[in-house]
Amino acid sequence: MMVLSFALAFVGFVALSFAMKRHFSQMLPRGKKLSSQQVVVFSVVGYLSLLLAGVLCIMVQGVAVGLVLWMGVLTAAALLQSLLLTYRPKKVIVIGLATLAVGIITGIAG
Amino acid sequence: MNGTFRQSMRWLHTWAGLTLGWVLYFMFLTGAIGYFNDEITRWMQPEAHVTSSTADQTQMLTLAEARLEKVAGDAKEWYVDFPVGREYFLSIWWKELSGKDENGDGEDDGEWKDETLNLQTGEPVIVRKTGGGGALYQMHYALHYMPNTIAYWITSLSAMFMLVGLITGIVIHKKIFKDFFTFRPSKKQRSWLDMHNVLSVLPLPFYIMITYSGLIFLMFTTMQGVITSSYGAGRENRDVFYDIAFEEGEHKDAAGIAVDNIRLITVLPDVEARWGKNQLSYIGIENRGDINAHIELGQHGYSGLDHGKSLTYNAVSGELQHASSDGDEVGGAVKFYEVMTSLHEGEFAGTTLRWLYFISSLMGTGMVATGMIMWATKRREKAERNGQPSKGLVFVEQLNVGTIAGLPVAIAAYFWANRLIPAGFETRANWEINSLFMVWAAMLICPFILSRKWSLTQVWAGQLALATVLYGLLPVLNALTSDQHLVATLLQGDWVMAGFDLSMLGFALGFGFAARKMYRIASREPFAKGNKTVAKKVVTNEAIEGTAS
Repeated sequence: MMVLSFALAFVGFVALSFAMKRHFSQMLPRGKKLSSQQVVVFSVVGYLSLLLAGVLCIMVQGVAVGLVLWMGVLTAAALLQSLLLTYRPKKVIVIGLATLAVGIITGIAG
Repeated sequence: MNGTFRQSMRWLHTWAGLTLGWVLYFMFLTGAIGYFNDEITRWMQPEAHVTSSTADQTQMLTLAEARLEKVAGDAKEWYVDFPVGREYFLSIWWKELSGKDENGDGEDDGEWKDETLNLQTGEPVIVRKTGGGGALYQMHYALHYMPNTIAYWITSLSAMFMLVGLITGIVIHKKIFKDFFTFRPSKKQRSWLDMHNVLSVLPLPFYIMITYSGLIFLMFTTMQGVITSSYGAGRENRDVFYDIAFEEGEHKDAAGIAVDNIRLITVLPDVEARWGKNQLSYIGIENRGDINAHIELGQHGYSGLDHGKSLTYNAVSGELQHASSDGDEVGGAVKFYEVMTSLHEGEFAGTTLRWLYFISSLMGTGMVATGMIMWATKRREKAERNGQPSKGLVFVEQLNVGTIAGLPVAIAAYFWANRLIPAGFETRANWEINSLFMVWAAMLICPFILSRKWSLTQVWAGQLALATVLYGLLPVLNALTSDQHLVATLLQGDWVMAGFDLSMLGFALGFGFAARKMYRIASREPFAKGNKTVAKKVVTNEAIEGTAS
């Protein structure tokens, strides 16, 4: 379940970076433009995913520890996205999808 | 201090960060390490092997009590720690008279002794004396070589400066959302700022929690005036406050009347009736041999942030005096204090959360380091343009390398000392710690000594390379000095021991990358010999003022 929580947090930050012009153009091939509609969609999806990651943490460890865990997971996920955007921006989408897949599988299995 | 609000905050952020930055770096690094104190202690006592056994706690307690009666017959306090959770061994603890009264309270300070026991036989396992991971953790708040009170003032003041740094940092970081993920390498000054920002913003909830709770932790020292003004000065008056605040009612002092006490094992049936079998984390007795003796025991595990339940028994009659589950009689302020300290220490954290605490703490170490490096590189660039670097700048630069690279080297030296100092050596625990500080002192001094032949970049490269070698070879040292080496522990699935060795390799990798980067920069530098700037430019007053701001 923690893997799924991390995956959701990571995907959430990926979505939020898509809502930012600078990172949008880093991750996608040249020429694609970010529309204001897309900004809204990416932001909403991103924040919801981050929230869902928190819900999972609370489900696993209760409110007190869950909130602390959530903060840690967010930090780790944001760090990963930061590093990817710097060193492997074109791979973010693939890595994001793979992480989500692994997260869902372990989440269901666990 | 000048101009607009933001400019003032920028000034404050710079100086709050720089003044005690090296203490904060030390605190963040030892604090990070502290989250794995028990695991580190295991590596530092390789004679003790964790045996998976289904020994039941009744049997363990019988053996432990027999051993305590043998070696600690006169001691007034006994404890038995059971091998649960992050407590890896069955151990006994007792307090002997030390013959000293260093805290000046009119009573013997006492000296704690302990033994690790074999689960099956109850015989002591001969392990080397060491401060272990606990000693590193204690340095985090109590520093070393100084009375606790002075250390608490220093670490607490550093935490206060940290809090100022956090708040001013948030205020001056205009693009906190826009630059959330932004790190642009290879852009010199901008890259350091990006790195500092990422390391500072991403773990922000952790930093706010850890800094504020750290201040709360030490408030009984730093805000003692509050207690004094309500209860009066002096230790006795302060003790009245503590008794009321923490409801130590059932923890009476010894009355001085000698009475036979029951054995620890006597209360076990009642405990098992309440909690079930094998639930104990620890059991102990205080005021042993006195009419006010009491047996205290705790349940292992945590409920949320709180420790497991505890029970206190009268050690003369065997009656239950107090159960923690009787409801919390402590007030809101104490409850807040307990939540804060609980969050800070993270004792409730399982493996995942513990690693997250560790990563966040290491990011904190990086935050402080990048801040201090930025200060120095900015001033150095200005100095190279305008003339001579100030003495202050040179001092900061050399302190930076000696601490940021040097302290990790010193900590590696602590682990090396653990295996190189003979296991039977009586005062080896102190000498392990002395090794840490001696090596750190050497790392701090060497930039000054080498400044004629080596450029600063070369010193950085050298110390980082030293760190790479020392950390990288630790698993080899382990293999040469114990039977719990990496191959064996991996095969056994002993992830604590293997985890230590693997982590050391991981750190070596990191230091290796950094060292290689510094070597490359050093080889490109025009004046590879010495840090002497070409002082052929005219030094104007403006230039001096510009350098000194």
